Amino acid sequence: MSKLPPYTSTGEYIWHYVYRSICGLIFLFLILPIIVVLPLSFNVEPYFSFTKGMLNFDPEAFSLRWYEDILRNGMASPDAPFSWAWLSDTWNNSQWMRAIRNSFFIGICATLLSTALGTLAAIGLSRSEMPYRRLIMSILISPMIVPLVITAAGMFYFYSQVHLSQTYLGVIMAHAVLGTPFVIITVTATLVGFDKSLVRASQSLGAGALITFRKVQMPLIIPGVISGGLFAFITSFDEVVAVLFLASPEQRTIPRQMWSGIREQISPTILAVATLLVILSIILLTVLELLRRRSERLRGITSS
Amino acid sequence: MKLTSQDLTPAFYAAALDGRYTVDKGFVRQNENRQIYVTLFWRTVMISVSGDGALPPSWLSSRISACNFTAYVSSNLLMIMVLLPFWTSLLVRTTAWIAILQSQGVINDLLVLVGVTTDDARFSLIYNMTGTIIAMTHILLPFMILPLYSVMKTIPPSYMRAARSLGATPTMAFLKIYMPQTIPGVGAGGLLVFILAIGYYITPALVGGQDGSLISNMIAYHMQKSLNWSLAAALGGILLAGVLLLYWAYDRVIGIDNMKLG
Repeated sequence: MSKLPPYTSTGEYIWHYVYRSICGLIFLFLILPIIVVLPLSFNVEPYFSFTKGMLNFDPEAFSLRWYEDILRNGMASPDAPFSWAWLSDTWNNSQWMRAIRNSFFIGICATLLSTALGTLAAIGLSRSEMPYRRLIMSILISPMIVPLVITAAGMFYFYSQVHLSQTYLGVIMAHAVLGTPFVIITVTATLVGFDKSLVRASQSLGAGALITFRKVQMPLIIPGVISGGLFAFITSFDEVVAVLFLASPEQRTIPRQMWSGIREQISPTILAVATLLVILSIILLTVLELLRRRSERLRGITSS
Repeated sequence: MKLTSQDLTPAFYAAALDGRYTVDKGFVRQNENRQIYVTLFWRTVMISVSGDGALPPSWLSSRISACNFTAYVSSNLLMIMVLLPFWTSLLVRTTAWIAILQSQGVINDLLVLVGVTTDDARFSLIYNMTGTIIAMTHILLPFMILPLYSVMKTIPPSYMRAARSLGATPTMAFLKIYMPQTIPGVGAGGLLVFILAIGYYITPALVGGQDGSLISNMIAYHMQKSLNWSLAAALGGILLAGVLLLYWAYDRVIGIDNMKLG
């Protein structure tokens, strides 16, 4: 914390601390909801609120039952003893397990698709000879801007006509469309720092376009590609509107399951899932930060 | 009847604007008590503005992270406090707000404990407009803070010191020197938040209840429940036109190339 200079007046002293406390409150407002979820998910009672026992740190008041419920809910025989049969029952029948599997499957497929398409688009758009650059760029970014309800409704009409709605492929394509803008933005940002003469150098040394791309361009823009991919993944992982419109119960994802959980049968299982998702987002945040540092280091090397 | 048998009709757009389109009289306004859609559009706009109302606090907070906490560690910690909500699932945050705001929730329990209110007069903070505004402000705040932060980071603190040494009062120095330089960030953040807020669907649907629902919820309702697809399309068309206009403005003023993530 920086020290206040000696010429500070009394009014400024007061303002300084008032200002600090206002900012503290704002940060509290930002982080508090996420922190509140964590202890509530260990509640013994099926409520969303703190019980007396929890406030007194009574060990009886805490339990892992909602985490078990993630595994058990929807199983054929949830009370059977733990065995391979129990595990396969969980894997195949538990509603949440299915949602988790779907989310990862759809998320990963959509990420691969949108990363590939987005990277290619960004490379093309960053070339100076590209005509109508601005127009094409704004069209490609628009899925991020246009309200999701409109995009999802439009996709629903269109996909129904070509028999893609209520299939995995339809949901994956929808999520790829929504994730592509993020890849384009991050890769374009990385390409700004990319030295074009490296491509010419590699070509003058006899490398073809493909080899140049793979050996020269790709390694340099890979941090941008990966962070764009992470954005695309989190977009798909967090997306519920398109799933609401396009998916059948077969393709339920985690957010979709949470959505119906909140609307129909409110139980702390949702809070347990929420806690797990917070942990996942912490991991993703860390990965992204490490990538950012790496890319800064790389750029430091190339510019010197 | 004659109107609806045609292939193209403005009737649904008229309905979306709370009017009726008749063959001989053209656009007629609907009765007062049946005007819901214009109210809804206005409410959506108002909520988006109030999302922008989060501007001064976020501006303060980004200022604090930008200049006051120059110490590396604490600034990083603050950044995490902004980025973690940004990266956390929307539904997680909405669920958290339900847990906090509901009538048996954390805030009401706390208020009863302190004695501000009694057990049977708990505040209804959720499933109405209040809930929508609080939850949406929380969700959109990082989108405001991050562009502001990236602009404020580049303003050298020596400018402020120079202004002070030339005799400006702190308020004066802030208004004349610091604020004009933050305008690009304010514009970028404000416009982005407005665009995102105007099409919001999930949060109002879950915490909005009756009077906190927005135009997107109406579109989804007509798509899925009442199956009045033409009306949904008309409402969506108006919303889309509005958003595209803003998007065009955003592209003009800031340029989509300059959009930054995280």
